[in-house]
Amino acid sequence: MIPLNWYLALSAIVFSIGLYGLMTHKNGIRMLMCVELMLNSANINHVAFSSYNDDMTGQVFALFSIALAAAEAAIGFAILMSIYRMRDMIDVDKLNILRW
Amino acid sequence: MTNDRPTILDSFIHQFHPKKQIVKLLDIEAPSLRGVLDTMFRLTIAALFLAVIFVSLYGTGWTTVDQLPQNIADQSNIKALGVLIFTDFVVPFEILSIVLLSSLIGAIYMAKGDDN
Repeated sequence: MIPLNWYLALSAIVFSIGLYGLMTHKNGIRMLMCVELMLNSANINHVAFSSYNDDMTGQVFALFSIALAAAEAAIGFAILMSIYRMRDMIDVDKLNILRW
Repeated sequence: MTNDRPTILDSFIHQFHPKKQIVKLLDIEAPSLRGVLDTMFRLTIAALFLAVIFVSLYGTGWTTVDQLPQNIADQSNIKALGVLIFTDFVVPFEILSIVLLSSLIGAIYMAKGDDN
């Protein structure tokens, strides 16, 4: 039986990869992918705790969180596409259209 | 269909395109000290975060059940999951469906653009 710590360690590693990618890359699509990594590491935690505590609620919550991640990705890509139509680039460092 | 305008996918592929990399290699630009330091700084932050999580992870005694899976004969819990969704969590489930539908409609409307 795999100890619970291994799942949590895997989740921490995946989250750190996502954090590192979010800090280093400025491409909008890459940043969205890194956000997905971080969300999925949270899902790993949910499922691990839920199955190791014999409580199904965590797995239901992980399903909801996956659906919300899908909605977030769809909105994010749509925003990036409309920004690309306007500016011909999606470098988030050079975008200041929300600044007043 | 001759549309020379690069799509959003092109701008993503652009980075991995071999030709582009050769051009990048040819006009040799030594990696600036500031860029290297920036990368090292960010890597250090991520590694420190990972270290903090690991210390707290292994310093905590997690209470778990003794044996997994609980029901050896039927290891799948999909059925129980579905029952739980449609009894206890039916209201969040329906709200989530509306959220997903409206966000997809909004995303398609935004991505469609004005030209077609």
